[in-house]
Amino acid sequence: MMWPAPETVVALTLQTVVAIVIGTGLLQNGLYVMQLAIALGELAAQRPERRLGRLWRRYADLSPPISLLVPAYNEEKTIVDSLRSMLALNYPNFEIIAINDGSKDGTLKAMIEGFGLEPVARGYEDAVAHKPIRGLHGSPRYPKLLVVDKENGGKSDALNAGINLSRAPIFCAIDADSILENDALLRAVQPFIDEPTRMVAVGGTIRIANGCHVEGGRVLAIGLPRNLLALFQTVEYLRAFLMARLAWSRLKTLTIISGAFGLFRRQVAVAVGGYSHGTVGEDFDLVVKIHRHMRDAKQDYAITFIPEPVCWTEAPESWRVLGRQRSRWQRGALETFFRHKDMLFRPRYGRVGSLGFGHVLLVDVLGPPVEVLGYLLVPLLWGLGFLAVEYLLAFLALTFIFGVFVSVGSLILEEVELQRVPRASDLVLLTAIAVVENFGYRQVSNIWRLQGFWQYLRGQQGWGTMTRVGFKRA
Amino acid sequence: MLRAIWAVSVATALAAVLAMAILVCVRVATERRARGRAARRAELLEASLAWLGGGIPDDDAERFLAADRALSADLLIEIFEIVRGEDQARLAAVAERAGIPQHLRKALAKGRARQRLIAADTLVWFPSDATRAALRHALDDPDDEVGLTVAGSLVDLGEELVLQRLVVTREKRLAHTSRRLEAVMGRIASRDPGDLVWLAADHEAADRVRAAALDAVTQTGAFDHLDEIAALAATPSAEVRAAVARSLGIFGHPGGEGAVTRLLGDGHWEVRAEAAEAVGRIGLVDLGDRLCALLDDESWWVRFRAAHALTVLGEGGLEALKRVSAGTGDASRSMAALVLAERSAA
Repeated sequence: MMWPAPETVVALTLQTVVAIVIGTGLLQNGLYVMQLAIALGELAAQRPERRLGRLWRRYADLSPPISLLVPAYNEEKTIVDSLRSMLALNYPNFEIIAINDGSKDGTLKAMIEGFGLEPVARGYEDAVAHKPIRGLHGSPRYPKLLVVDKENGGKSDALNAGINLSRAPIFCAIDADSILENDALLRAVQPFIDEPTRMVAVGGTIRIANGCHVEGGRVLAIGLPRNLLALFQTVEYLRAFLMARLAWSRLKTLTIISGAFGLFRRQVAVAVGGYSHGTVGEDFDLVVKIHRHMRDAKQDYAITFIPEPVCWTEAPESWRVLGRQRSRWQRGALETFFRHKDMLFRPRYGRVGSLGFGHVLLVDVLGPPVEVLGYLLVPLLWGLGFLAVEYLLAFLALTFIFGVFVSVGSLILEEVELQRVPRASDLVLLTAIAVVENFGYRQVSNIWRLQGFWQYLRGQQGWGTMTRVGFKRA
Repeated sequence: MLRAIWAVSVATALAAVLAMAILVCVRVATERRARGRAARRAELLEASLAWLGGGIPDDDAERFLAADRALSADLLIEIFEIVRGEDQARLAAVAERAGIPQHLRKALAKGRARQRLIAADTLVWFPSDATRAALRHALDDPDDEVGLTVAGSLVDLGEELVLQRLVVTREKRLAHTSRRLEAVMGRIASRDPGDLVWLAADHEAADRVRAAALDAVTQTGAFDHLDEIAALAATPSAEVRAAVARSLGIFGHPGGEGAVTRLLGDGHWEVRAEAAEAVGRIGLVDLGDRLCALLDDESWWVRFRAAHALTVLGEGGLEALKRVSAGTGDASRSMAALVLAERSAA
């Protein structure tokens, strides 16, 4: 038997690897096209009510009580403004539970002094685990506000304390430095009104506040960031929320609701043990646990995303801080995926196990290492004459060019259905950014995600330091 | 195939950028139109307010409104939300002459879902035979939100609705119960609670519908049907039994004692919790011992409601709670202490 020459074996192996790289890219981009198409159909079918007055008239009497859970760690500079703006939200029946998670700065002192709080007593069920609570604070002048002071335990731990203290059937987890639009709760609660027994979780949209005119914890005028990184993230967030989450929600396979803004039925969150400790992907993990629990119990349920309720958040403007954030997100995605890997492709978990987890496997687990391998291998092999130029072109198309279609496609969705970008000139700028982000920024993002991989493999935990600049005036 | 990937990618990217360029041009044009519309709206609002203040004659107001009926209809909804009484009636009359209700009835019959929804919501301000007929015709609208809004508007206009047609048909199609349906039931209950009591007693209706019907009757505060509601304490549905306990508590009538006593021992914690709360609301002092026993219940919420109910039963209830807080049972002692601490802090 004639064995092939070694160089032939090497060439074939490398071509196979490149074919896998290109095949993975094709599958990913195919998924993106599907998401775009579904998201367009879904947005076209919705008809959000623009007027707050009409919204209030229609839904205020039907809206269930909500507990707003606000975990806070070292938020001394902004916490009082944030809580004030939350207290002014347009919603008929809600309470705010701000949880000081053992801050090392004056977060608790700022809240106590800012609202004239005193120690209060409030009974609560130890439904989910968390570190000990040191004290509760309230004021008759602010009956909707309860401040919880507890030992440091991390975001999940703080949220669990909030879940225990909450008495409303629904809670909304929101980051302390985020800004909810005035009508966000009224909009976000609609799925719970339409399907009061089935609906268990609802996600809203997160938008970038950099460049907006923010005063007193409120977004008074929408603007675009001036910082290039923040602009890239503006387009990314549009893609993530308007395209991806809307599509997965439509397919009933939504596996993540952002930790910065999500509504959950308290009873179900308690049933799954609340937020998990020991992970930085606690938001992803909670939703997956809920899917698992409801499917194991064979209960009819729904988890949905709606684009109209908006929460504004500050995006990192430095490469270092953004890199840390993205590595952490990747680590969180991997932690959750591998924690629940037995759901992958198992029939009892239906579309969540096949499409939902299949998507995570392709885009979050295999995607970054395969793509980075491609960046290294494909040009090298072509340069050495081992690969035909067609392979190079196909790879470049899938990793650079096609992304332009996906990014600009998300902008098209935004403009056709929502029109929240303030001016035509802003649209032009965002279009340019949507093109440019695919030539450099996307590639750097993949490197950050590989760092997240490495951190996961090393068993690294914790959030690192997020340097806050605070909302700036535009 | 590989070259095709390149070609398709480049083509789709260029197509997307071109589409975006077109949208930018459309946006420039719509921004101009929007500024024009905003200016006309401001003019219309100023004219409406001036007319309301008696500053311009009716004919002028009618002319302003008729100039752009879609814009006028939109603006009128907001004005109707803030003016009341005679001003509202005058405004409705002028709008009628300007053809606004006809415009809305046409939108209800032929518009897209959003337009039908706005029309269904707004026509309630233009009561007439033509409006009632248009709303009745739209009661079976394929869009559930439109249909339920139409139903609500009809009830507000004093129309009788066949409850079964409304509830059963919609509920079957929805396959669950929207709270919007419950809102319509609430409006029906204020006129004729008997129908809803019948629905609550219908074992073939969904549990949630029956519970919602009971809640709707309860909101009227009219306890004419107290005995019929109390009789539902024996129903197999836990959700309905919880609604019964809730209703009896809200009515606060001592006639509910028998049913509440029975429900205190229910197998479902939600029912026991509602029954415990009802004891406090009705003021059933004789059931104080039962509440004390519930302080050892396996469910935190039952213990919590029982403790709270004791605090509203007067001095006797408070004394009982203090005794338990000094007693031996872990769960009961800590709950009693917690609730007493909450009470004194308040």
